[in-house]
Amino acid sequence: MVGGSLILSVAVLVVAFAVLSYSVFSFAHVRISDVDMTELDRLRREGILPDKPRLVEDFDLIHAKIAHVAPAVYLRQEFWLRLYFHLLRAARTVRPNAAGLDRELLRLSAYQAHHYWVAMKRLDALRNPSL
Amino acid sequence: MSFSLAVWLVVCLADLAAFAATFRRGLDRGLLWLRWYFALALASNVVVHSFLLKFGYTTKQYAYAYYLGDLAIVIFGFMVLARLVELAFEKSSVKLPGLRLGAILVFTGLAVCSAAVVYMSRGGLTTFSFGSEMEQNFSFLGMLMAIILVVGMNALAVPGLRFRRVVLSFSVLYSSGAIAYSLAAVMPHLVDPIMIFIVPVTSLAGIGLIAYSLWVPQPAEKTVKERKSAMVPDGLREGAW
Repeated sequence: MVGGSLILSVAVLVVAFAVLSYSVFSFAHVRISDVDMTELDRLRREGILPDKPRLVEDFDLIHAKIAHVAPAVYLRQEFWLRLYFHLLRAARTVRPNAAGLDRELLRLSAYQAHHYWVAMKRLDALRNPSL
Repeated sequence: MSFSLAVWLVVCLADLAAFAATFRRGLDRGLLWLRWYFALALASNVVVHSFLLKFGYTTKQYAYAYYLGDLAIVIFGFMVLARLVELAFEKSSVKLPGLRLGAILVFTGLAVCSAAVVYMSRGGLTTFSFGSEMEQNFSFLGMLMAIILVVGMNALAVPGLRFRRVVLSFSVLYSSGAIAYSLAAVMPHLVDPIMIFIVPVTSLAGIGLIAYSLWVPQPAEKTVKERKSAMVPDGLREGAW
């Protein structure tokens, strides 16, 4: 028992859970913090995404498109992306005017856009083998 | 193959992968301390397991080896974290004078407090109780230190993606360890399953994340202008939810 006290042990448990959650989601944030936005713009330019940007629908659309192609090109979608997406959505319902959450969602879509182009490149290589 | 041997092998493999990752070219000099950390972790794992095989699970010798080995890793991890703090802020305009002295004072204070708590609550000091108390306290301290460092690095936009990932991995390692020890304290009837299943899994997760952070190439740091390009365009938020 922490310091011989049950209350202290429960307090440590609660703080440790909070820190663990923060660390896990910060790890996710760090992965997308330097994402290349041009790949998302390219999806829009090529008409794959609608002209008018929508945070949630864009992510869902790219996710669905990758899911359609992924098995054929041996691409495994990272499971934390979906979890992080739902967490951001939940956080956005609590703080509807948080621009930081919108920015994070946009980065998440851009991160997925990168995967989409990776999948397309692999598909192209399968269809048109150079050898 | 027994369960303990399988767990030991997996943990050793994770340590070995992380140790090998510290030999990668172009690794930041501050992260080289991790090489010693994982060398110590590997050596400790080998020694503890050899004691287990030679003396058995219920012997004093194994208890001494287990607590000394584990404690050495936790304390050295705390020192590595202090070194990472120093190096991370060395790259920024923030100066942290007396950090090493502060870390040594905190370490000494915590060790004395742990000994005092054990002595007062049990009327004496035993390796098991003192080792367990120290491990628990250092997990909590390491967790707090890591999270303060992460928040500080984010707030001050300290450069170094790999640094941030490594520190976050330490935060995951220490906070999951603190959860395991506090769960064992709150629910003493679950001590055995926690120590047999949860502690190895949390250690593996932490070590795995550190190894991953070291293996994954670090992308080039972006300029302020490039970072601004990731801002949400005007009008985007209308009707988005």
